[in-house]
Amino acid sequence: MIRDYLRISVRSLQRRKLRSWLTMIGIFIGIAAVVSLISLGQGMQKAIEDQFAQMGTDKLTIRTKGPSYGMPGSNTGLILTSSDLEVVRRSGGVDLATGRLIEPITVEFNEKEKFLYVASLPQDTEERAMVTEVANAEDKDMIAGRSLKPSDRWKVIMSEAYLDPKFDGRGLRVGDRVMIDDQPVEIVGMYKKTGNPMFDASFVMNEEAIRDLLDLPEKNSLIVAKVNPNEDMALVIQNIEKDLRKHRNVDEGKEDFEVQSPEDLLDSASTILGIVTAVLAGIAGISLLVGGVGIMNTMYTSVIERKKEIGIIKAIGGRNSDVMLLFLIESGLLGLIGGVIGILLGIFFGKAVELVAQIALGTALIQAHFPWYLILGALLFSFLLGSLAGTYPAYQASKLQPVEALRS
Amino acid sequence: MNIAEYFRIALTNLSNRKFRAYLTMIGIFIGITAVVAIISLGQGLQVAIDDQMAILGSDKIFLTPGTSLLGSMNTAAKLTDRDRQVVDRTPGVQDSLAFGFRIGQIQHKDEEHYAMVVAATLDEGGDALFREMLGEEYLMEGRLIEDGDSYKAYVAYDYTQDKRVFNRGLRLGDTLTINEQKFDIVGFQKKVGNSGDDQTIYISADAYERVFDERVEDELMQVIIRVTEGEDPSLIAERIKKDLRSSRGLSEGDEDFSIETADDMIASFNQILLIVNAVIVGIAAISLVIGGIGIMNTMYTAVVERTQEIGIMKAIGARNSSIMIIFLIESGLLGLVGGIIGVAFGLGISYATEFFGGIWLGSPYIKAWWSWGLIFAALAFSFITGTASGLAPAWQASKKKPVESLRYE
Repeated sequence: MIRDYLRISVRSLQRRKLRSWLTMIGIFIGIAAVVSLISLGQGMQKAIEDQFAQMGTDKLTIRTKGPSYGMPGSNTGLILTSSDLEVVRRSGGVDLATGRLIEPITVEFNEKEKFLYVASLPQDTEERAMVTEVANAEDKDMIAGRSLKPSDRWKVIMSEAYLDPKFDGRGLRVGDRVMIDDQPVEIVGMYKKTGNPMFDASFVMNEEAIRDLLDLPEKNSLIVAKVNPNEDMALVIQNIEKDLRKHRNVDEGKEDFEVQSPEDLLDSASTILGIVTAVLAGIAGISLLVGGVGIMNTMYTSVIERKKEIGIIKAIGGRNSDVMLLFLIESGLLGLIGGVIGILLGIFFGKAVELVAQIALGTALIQAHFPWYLILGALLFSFLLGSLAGTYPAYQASKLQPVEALRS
Repeated sequence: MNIAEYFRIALTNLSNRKFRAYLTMIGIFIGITAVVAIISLGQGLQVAIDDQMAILGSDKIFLTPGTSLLGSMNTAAKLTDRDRQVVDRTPGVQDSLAFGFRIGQIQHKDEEHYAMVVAATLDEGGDALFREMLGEEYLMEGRLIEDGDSYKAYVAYDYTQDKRVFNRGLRLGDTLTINEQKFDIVGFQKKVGNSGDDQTIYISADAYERVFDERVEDELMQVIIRVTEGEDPSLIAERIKKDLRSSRGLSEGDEDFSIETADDMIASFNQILLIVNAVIVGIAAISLVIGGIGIMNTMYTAVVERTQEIGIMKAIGARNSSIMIIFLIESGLLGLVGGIIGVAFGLGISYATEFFGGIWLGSPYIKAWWSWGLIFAALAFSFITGTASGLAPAWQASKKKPVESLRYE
């Protein structure tokens, strides 16, 4: 029976090919726009998540409070000391903790001065491994030269960003000697860009050497803590906060430090991205509304044109519900087919934008991602939209008096 | 047949199928509403921001350490008083004002917060510029910071409000602790409209040194430069750039500072806003395309339905062009009327957003904007969309053979 309904609906759509197509165009343009926008938003979200996952979701960062712009610790007079680090190490649930220095320095090369940053690598093997993994300072990350050994003293590695000819017209190379705060040091290695502007702008040097060079025996610009596996991240954060509050002698709610988990950062990035995607998809969704009105219009016309047909169906025993179902299937099909084409187009657009972004901007951040629920949701939505738009016309058709309909 | 008659026929035809005509117009009307509302709010935002930036005055140049915000390489370069002296010596510079700012821990009663603490070099020249830029026009109550003030603070608008920063808004004469040193509040600034400016605390350079253990002169965060009257700011900016390069020993393209005129700042900002606006309007305009297709669809249907009528008209001597004009006017009217309703609704939404945005968010940036140009363009666009969508159907109608059309059922 349902197959008969389908057959009749499809045939009547085919009889008015041009009109059916025009109606469906309205739906598929809208679906294509919404699908491609959402897929790009989803793709970007995934790219960001991947980047965070690479940084390690089991690590916490502790820094002094203040707005997050600028280099860590550059704003307030507050510092984290080595005794703070000891407190963090002893906090419940912390597997490993280390301090890092990220400090401004003067770099002199060929009688030119630059103001840059230097970042430290811990001396302890385990702590060092935790840092090098994130900072691209492992052997495998080197595109020239070698990585830094714990025994190195006046040696540094730098990011490939410094190949940029901005630096003295030719960029820095492995083997160059530069003066850092009047101390000659040798560049022994170059790592590939991390994508994190803080890391990519810094020279990397062993902790001991930096402490001696800058005369900073106690300071930590930030503390990185790795949480024991199976430990609840939120609980560990609470532990550290409680211990540090006690140690630094501050009351709850007046902390002069903050403990950040990767989730915190990820959450705020996701929220912003989610809002932007929702607004854009919402604006694109207006066109779906217009498409729905188009379906309604087409269905009304179709009811008027087929009055006689409706009269005949009723005269030979068709019930109101039969007539209603016929028209509903017809409008639902208009929506559904429009949706299928729209999704295909949307996938095409999304992928095209991804490709163009990769070629033109060289960024891997713009990706199109099509989770199954997006596809299914779009299909369902277009079908519902079609059926909904057709409900009233179908109802009207079903209420026609057979005699009058036949006479028209 | 004159044009009035064409219109009469078109109108009669539309009102014969009122419901369908309305549905078709809804398509155009929704699209125009969205586009007009977005353009109106976008322009309003731009005007509000431009107004605020215009207060800076186009005779100003801004010097900051580091390369631009989006520069690929971070630098720890500092600007110091030495650089400011270079600036002041550059011909065409009238005076300059240097700022230092840091994040300070502030405390009032039992509440603690972090805030931007700013100090300016209020020497001769600097003082005049400070008064001009932050002075009388923005003074809400009390007085500004003066050179030689020791523990006095001039605070921005948000501190005067309950539950904005502190639970109870501050009053003149209240004390405020900055990094554990007590300050008397001597003045309040009027509302500027962004949370950055509205939560700033100004203190004297002397106090800044005592609080942060660093002289303002040793690390200038921003230098505002006023050029002599009649001089071209962009020319002077180039000159300063050259002088600073040579005093800092940098080659061209290698600057570790950035220098921008007020006009540059406004221009680059406007450009970003324009792009964002264009993208959003473009997405909204998709619905106009679909509305246009709706008109096309309706017109095709009308042509089919009225085949016999077309046949009769041709039989009694109507030319192809007459038929075409009748159908074109009909589709153009569909677009135009949809456009009129859309413009009205769009501006309505925009003004409603301004109204409720003002009440709920208190933001001065949510502003509705309109111009005859916008209204005219929207109407012209909707009329053209309608006419263009009607072209193919109208052409089809005009080409019908009279005899076959008469026979059609």
